[in-house]
Amino acid sequence: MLIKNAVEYLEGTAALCPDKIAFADESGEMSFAALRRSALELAASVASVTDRVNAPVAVLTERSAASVAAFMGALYAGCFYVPVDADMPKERMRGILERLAPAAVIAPAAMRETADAFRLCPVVGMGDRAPEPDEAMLLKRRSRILDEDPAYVIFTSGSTGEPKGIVVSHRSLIDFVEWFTEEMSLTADDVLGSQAPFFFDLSVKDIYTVLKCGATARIIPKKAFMFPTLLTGFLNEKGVTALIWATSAFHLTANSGVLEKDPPVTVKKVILGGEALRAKQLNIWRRALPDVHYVNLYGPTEVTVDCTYYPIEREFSDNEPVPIGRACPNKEVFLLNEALEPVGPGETGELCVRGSGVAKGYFGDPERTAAAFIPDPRSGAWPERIYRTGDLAVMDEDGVFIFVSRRDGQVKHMGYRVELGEIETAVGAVPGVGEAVCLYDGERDRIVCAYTGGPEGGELARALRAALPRYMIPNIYHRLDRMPRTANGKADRKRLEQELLHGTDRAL
Amino acid sequence: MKEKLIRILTEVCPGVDFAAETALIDDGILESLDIVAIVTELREAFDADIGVDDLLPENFNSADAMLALIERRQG
Repeated sequence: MLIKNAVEYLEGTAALCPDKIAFADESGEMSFAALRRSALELAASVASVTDRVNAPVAVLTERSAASVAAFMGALYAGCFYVPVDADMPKERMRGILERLAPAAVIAPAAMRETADAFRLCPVVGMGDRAPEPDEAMLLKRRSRILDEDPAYVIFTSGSTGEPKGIVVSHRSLIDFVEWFTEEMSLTADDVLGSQAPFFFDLSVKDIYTVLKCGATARIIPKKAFMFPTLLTGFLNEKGVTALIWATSAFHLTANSGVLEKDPPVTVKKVILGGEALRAKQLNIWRRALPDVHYVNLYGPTEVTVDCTYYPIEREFSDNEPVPIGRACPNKEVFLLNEALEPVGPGETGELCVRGSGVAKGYFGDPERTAAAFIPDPRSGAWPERIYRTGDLAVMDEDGVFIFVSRRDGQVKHMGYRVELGEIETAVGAVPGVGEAVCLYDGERDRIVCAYTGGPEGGELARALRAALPRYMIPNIYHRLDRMPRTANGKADRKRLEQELLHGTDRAL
Repeated sequence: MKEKLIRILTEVCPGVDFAAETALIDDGILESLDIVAIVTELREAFDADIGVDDLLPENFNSADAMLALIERRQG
């Protein structure tokens, strides 16, 4: 089935199996018919407050089936959805909404007041009484949307202190979903144990596997993810067959010791992404569940979820790097050196991507878009653009890629993509702080903050809670009398790394 | 020992007042992956044999509850 708008997945599946469970969360189960109905009602509410189409609709997003209904509601109304973590600090939320200038905000009932208080745009409450959906009118709005128009915008950390909104088109999304569900052999019989928050692009795989294939997603309750025996109990009780998880969650489950005792025995497929997969934890899973099909995927949000994949088909020793694999069929992946020339097998280069998945750019930010999305330097043929990931990798003779490191200050922490520069900006904005440098201790998964002036570490961490999401708050604080400098007067990051990460005077 | 515990907890979950909070789980202060990360640290720092069966909400609601768990499991 060739479709042009991602909402047609829901249209098709709701017609085929209306009574099957699409999403289930702590508040209950939602069938495909109920999901469609709820989405149409929200679309009608959006249409009643704005005439804009092909415009952003922000969704204050929770771990709930209702959040997916709101995404689909935005699409039904001829708009695109922008998931915004409902738990993020209010000022950060306001900043994102101000830049986005959405046509409407869809908010859970409990967040309605918060959204109203911003006074930025009309607010649709999820519990509001909706007008009866006029499907012909909604279809008319939607018929103006081309497949090159945006389906969603997902915000990630930005190095200059402002989150970046990555704009992904229906075409990119549909191409990805078609490949992913086929390659991973996902079907209506699959039950997903949904881990990824819906404001994180990893969740695109859960959402659209359900909508396209008619699978069921059981959203893992927050508490089950805190206590591993509750987690595996949940997966076993619900008969979960597939886990499409952040690698960090996979690692932590392995480390908890639960797999040796009470493994999730109904699971048949484990599909990972988000950060480098460690062989040691993979081996713990494979010893507990040897017949499961494990796949490692890689890709930044800017290339539409993933661009390489690696089915695990051989043994790895505990310290061996696990490859990120080969390019997905509808994407070209290649390595360039600093002069933007192709490098050969075995040489390190920056991983670049071309093809249908390359995002449209950063929302309202032509400057950063032009820096990351460039004409293909191998041909110079505009408008064919490539995306420079900033990740360094090597490729072997068989076209299999292995991740090496980042080129810049971006790190993966707790499964999230974090720009250290954004944290430094936030620390620098706390009253009394002179200057801040943030480092990442990859061995211990810690963000380390060195700063001058200002309050002591605990106080600083509490102040940062009002400005940054939890996963971006530094773990370790060093208050310095003065910042070490390089010869040209910049903060000396190398020296700080030596002293604070590799030295003997660690905080503990 | 409590001081060391609080220092470790604060490092894993910065910005939480572990000395004062008594409903870390029930009030949703700790997040999904925090417990496993905390336990990994406690096992190492206190040489405590905390097993997967000890991972229950009541053992993690406060620093004192965690301290009691560590004391029970120290070899």
